[in-house]
Amino acid sequence: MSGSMPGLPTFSALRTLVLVAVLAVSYIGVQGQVVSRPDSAAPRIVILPFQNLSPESQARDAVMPRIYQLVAGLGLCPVSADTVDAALRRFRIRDTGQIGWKHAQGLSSENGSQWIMLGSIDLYSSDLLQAGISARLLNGLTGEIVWADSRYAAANKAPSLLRPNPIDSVGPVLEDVLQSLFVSLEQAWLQNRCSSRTERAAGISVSGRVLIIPWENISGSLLADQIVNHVVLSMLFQHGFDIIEPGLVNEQTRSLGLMPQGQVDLATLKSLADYFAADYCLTGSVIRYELATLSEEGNIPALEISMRWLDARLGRILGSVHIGGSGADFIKIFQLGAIRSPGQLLQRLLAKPVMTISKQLALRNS
Amino acid sequence: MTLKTRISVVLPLLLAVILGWGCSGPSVFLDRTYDFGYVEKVAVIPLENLSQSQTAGRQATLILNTELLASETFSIVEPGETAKVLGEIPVPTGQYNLEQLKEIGKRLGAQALIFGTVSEISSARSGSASIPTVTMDLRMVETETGTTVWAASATKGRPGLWATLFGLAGKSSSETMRDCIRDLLRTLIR
Repeated sequence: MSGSMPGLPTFSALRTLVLVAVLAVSYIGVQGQVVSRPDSAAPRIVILPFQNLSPESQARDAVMPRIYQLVAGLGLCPVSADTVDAALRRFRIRDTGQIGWKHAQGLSSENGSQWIMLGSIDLYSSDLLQAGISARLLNGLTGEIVWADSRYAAANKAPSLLRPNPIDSVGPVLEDVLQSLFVSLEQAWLQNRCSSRTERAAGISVSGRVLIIPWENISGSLLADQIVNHVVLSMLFQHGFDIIEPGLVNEQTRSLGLMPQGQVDLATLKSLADYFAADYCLTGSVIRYELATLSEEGNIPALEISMRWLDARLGRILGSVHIGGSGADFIKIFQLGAIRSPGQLLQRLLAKPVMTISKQLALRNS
Repeated sequence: MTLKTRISVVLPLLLAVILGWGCSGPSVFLDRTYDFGYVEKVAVIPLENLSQSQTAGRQATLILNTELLASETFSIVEPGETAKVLGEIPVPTGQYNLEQLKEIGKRLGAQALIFGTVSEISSARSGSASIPTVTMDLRMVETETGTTVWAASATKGRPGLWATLFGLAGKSSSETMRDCIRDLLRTLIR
């Protein structure tokens, strides 16, 4: 016999309730850090429901209210979720992880808001407690990404030498991630009040305009390509690249009757490069994205990806990297240093290649 | 036989056994009359997959592309362009004839094509350790004449002495595949 008892909430519902409760408590705890309530003159911002890339079906319901609070705390005025939902239905926008030109302009003009925030949620609250949020801010009138970042954090439920008390909820981990993400937004963009890539935060040099062809996913793990897409976009942005909004690229390739993944023919690439004035193209394949491979060190994620970058106008491959590894590769001694979050492992594995790309292309530009 | 002589005989033998256990070099054909300096750009044709793993062919193709680029010997045609051209040239028999090879070479601007097969990718148990084994072959075909100018076949990842004796885990299947491809390419690019 299976199923839940009539009248009693299911385990999943209970877990969501606990998650929401913990988030609420966390919010009350950090309320002092929220700067101020938005005034009527504050810039309006449309926040699209973040794309849920996690197995937790209710993750979005748990995270979005907190994102609204944090955005308001930065002195921005978010358009109400109900208004955004209605607009999404009217524009028939289903994939909120990216946005096309027509939709961006429509949402902006309809709501009197220049700015659109979108992103993704990568949350686990079972054996592994992982919270990962990727977010970006778009100028809805120009389609330009003005800020992007990805933050991941994880914790083990089990007590350890350094943390004797077990953690039983992902709430605190998620709160840390959200706080650091919004600190990044505040520092990198809001403090400068810039609207153009050339005016980006001081110290970040613009290295080139990059279009990302959607990644191929042969890993068998659903949505792994999208997780990698979001993380790579953020990392490249943080290294000073001007990234073309994936929704715009998607819209343009569809108009050509194509849906390239992991590779692109030269005619299409040239057409995209001309259309977007792109300097470089980046794409790749996710070969392995295992959340937990049972090893001697316990549950450890394992990833393998292949990535290459091209001169967008010439179609010449400028670099290629094939990287893979498991969380156990980072163990220093007695399991210390093991990475148990696939998101964190992804960021660690990508750090060096992204740095290489950044240096190589900066040299090329100079 | 003196002790010194014994050591000088036994020690190299022992080292050879330890280092060589489970390893076998690639079988290689190299057309020594061919001028490889003529080949500037190559296109990698997606590798055939005869193994049980559904993604082994694609995985090997991606690794091969990266390894060829890393060798800095040839330019590589963007795989998307190769896929497009291959899709436009019908191959009813599954094998390319000379005219097709010439056409592919001309359209991709490639002097040579690289074909290959992943014959085996499996995991063997050695004590408590799992040892992946990869068998692959690669060949380079010149597009003007359709001649195979290089071919090599290798198996990598058989349980080594340490794994056999002590049950130590070896490399992952991906690392083994990369080692296999590197071994094969080493017979072409020195």
